[in-house]
Amino acid sequence: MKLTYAIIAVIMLALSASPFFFLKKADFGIDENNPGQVIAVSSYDAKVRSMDPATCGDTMSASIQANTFEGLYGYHFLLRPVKVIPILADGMPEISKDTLTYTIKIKKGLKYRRSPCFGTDKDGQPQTREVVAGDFVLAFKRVADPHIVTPLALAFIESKIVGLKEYRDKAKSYNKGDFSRYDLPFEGVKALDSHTLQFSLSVPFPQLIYVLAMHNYAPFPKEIISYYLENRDESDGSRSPVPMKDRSTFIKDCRAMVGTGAYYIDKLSYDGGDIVMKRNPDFREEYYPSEGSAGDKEAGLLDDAGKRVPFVDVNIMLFVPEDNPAWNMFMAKRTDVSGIPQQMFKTVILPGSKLTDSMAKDGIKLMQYESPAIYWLGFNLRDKVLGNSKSLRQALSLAFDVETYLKVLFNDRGVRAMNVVPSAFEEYPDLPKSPYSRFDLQAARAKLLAARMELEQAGVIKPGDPFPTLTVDLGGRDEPQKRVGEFIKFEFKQIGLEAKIELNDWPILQEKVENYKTQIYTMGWHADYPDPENFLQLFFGPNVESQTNQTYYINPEFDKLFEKASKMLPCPERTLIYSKMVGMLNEDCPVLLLSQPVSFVLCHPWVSNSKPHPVGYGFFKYRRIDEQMKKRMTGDN
Amino acid sequence: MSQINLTVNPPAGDSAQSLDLASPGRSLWGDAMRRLRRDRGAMICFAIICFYVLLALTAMTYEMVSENSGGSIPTFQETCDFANYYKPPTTEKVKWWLGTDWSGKSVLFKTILGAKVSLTVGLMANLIAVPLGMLLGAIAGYFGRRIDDVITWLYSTLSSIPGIILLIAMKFAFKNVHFLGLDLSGIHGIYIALGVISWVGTCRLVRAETMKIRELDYVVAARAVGRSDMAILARHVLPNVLHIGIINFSLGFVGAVHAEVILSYLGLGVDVGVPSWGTMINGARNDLMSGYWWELASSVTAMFFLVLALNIFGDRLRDAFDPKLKNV
Repeated sequence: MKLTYAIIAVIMLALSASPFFFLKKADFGIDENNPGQVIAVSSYDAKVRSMDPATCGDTMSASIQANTFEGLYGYHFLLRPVKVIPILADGMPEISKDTLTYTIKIKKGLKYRRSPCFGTDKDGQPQTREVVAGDFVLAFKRVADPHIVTPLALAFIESKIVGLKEYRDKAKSYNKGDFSRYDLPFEGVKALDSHTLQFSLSVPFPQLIYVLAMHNYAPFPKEIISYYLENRDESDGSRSPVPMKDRSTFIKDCRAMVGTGAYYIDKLSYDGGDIVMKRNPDFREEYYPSEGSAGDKEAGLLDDAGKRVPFVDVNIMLFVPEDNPAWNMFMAKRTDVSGIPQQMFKTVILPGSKLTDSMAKDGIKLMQYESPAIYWLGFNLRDKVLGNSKSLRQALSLAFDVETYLKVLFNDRGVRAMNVVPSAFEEYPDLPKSPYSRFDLQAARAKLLAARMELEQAGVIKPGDPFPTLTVDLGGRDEPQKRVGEFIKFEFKQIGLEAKIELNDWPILQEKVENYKTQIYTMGWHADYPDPENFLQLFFGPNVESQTNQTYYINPEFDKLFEKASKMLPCPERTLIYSKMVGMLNEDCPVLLLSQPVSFVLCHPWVSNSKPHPVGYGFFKYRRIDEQMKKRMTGDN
Repeated sequence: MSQINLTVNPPAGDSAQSLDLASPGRSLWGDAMRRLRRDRGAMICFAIICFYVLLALTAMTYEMVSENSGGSIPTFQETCDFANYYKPPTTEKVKWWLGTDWSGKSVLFKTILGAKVSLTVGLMANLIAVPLGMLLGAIAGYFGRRIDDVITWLYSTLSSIPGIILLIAMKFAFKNVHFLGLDLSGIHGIYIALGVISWVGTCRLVRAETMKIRELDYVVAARAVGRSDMAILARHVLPNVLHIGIINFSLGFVGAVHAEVILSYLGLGVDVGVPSWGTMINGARNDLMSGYWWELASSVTAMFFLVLALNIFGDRLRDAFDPKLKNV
């Protein structure tokens, strides 16, 4: 009897301990026999939604993909205001007089990463091949392909490139799995010879250079299609064709991510999980930049000038969806870089944007940068109250204490926006600042009197009636959003205006705003490219139809200037037009300007050459890790 | 002398015993009340509840006065003081005794004002739920057959859906709904949603009790002399199940206070800016990590004592009304 109990006890113990026998060390596929490897570890918090440059539309996917897929152009790592430089292109484009034709030379000798899609040698080793102009043409055809959802990439070039619509129409009639549609002609993007590309535009589009600086239009070898999309691995190791109806039109497997970048993606999946990027041995000879902006030299960002990149052999990114664990991993020195969770901010950053002593003692470095984004409270000018009274909008702007708003609700993680253009843009110093972008209750009350006159004249309110209650829609239901709501209520109340706060889920707010079903709403815009046009188009009258003009701001004079400027290449004359347009917006207040966010990034002392870039991606290749120091500091050997 | 005294004034316990036997006309109610009054724990809890009611009434008066004062007395929302945000508890000023919140508003006042929301939610939800439950329970139990089937089906269906999920669903359904001039997206929606889902317990108990009472001699007799069903229900059945209603009222109160807190925590409760314990607890999600514990501590403590008092009081109420415990 006793023995039975003993046996039962042993079995129970063994069962409860059994999970531990199957614990494995995380496998990143790193060669353990090569101790000299430099490994960078960071964390990421949002699942990767796309592995194909054409379908990429979110920042998370872009920040991964851009390290392996490169475009013709890119951004200089160090220079601010940001500057576009050639990456795969050999020099800047040659632009015709009418600015409609761009001719671009491609660097010679560029190689893709080695992949079995290029065949194998007699030892079974995968091969590579040179990048040719035709690969870029294919990339653009894929972006235009109606059978691939290319949300972002298509929007930028739609109605801009000659023959794009015709190509789309013709390709529509093809079967989804029939890739012979890529043999159809595409007039606007042509390969003149193996290393020369030519773009033909239907309208002047000076922002094309910024579009070409995105990795979404990276060269795409046709071998990927035949090897990975038309054929597949069988369980016995052989390869067999995929039936046409089962074919995917885009890459779903990280092995098929064949790019030219400094790294290739060794491990990546859609459902989270760790990402491993390894050094691409066939990466071209590229060197660390030798010029930077003011302060870069002091910050040690030019110490590696002229050295060959990349410095790091393996980049590991751990999937940590929650803020706090990610933060704890950084503090435990398991990851190299980290942002700062909102709730930890006070314990990390002292007033005046300085690190606390304990962190500074550990040698942790703080980097901050102003994101090229502007947040505002949008006014729906179709609303009879807000639309009929410019003075009311000005009064609300004057009554809003943005400095306190940023201090109390955002720990000063932002600066007051002075007009609709971010300060990181080259043109910013020449643009006028809004006279209503200040906190002045007295002026606000005076404006409110004028607003009453305007509204009475328009017949919206009767003399003696109180102002109607204003409804403010927010894009979230969580506590921070509620506090924003409470703050707005308080600010409006200061000049005697009542506000009702509506909490919405983000997609619902977007829908409401796009259909002009709101009165006042929180919104913001993050730059796609560093040109004020990107922000001014939000107030361009005809954009009401495409729902990008969400304030229903219609000003014929503004529209005329916009049309004129949108055909011009960067020049002082264009800046002058921009400044006129910004002046109009400042006066008309279609939005209540709130803030331009400031982002903070921390890194451990063994990380160097880390400088956050406001627009571009794909700068892993410049990062350097002092492996010795890391080992010493983490006590890991 | 002493001899006479003894016979005239017998020991107190004896007298009570003999009084009980001697006056059979004393009602269940009076009896229960007497027993309750003798219960010190119940009385303390009752005092605590009264204190909270007082707080709520004060809060209500303040809100009414400040809203109609035309700006001379600031409403709570207007007491923001951004220079003194996140001030830890200090004795410097009365309003800082429990510290200040993210906008510099007094946490002490916020907690007191929160009592109003919690108590009104408890009260209103039960004012809907208990009468509804009693009525439906009595009808189902008394008439039986089809009516019983329908009502049983109704409450089984309702109780098969997890309460909090039903509550959330109703709150979403109430969005932008106006009913009898009430905006159901705010607190009125909570009253109704809670009332509509929490009558099930009362209904079940009352139904069972009514089924028993229906067969008792006095009901049979009343039916025999030709009294109408409605009269029997009103005169003979309902008074005998009323105590169930009262007990459920006090217990349901606790549930309603909980529910308000949970709904506000989920962002479906009161309007933005209305102080309530639920929103205070929700706010702590952000604040606690930065070390601002006082708002959470105040609201949770306030809620703890109210819920504890209500629970104990409800329990003692049940004891007092239970005829089986009458002579214990």
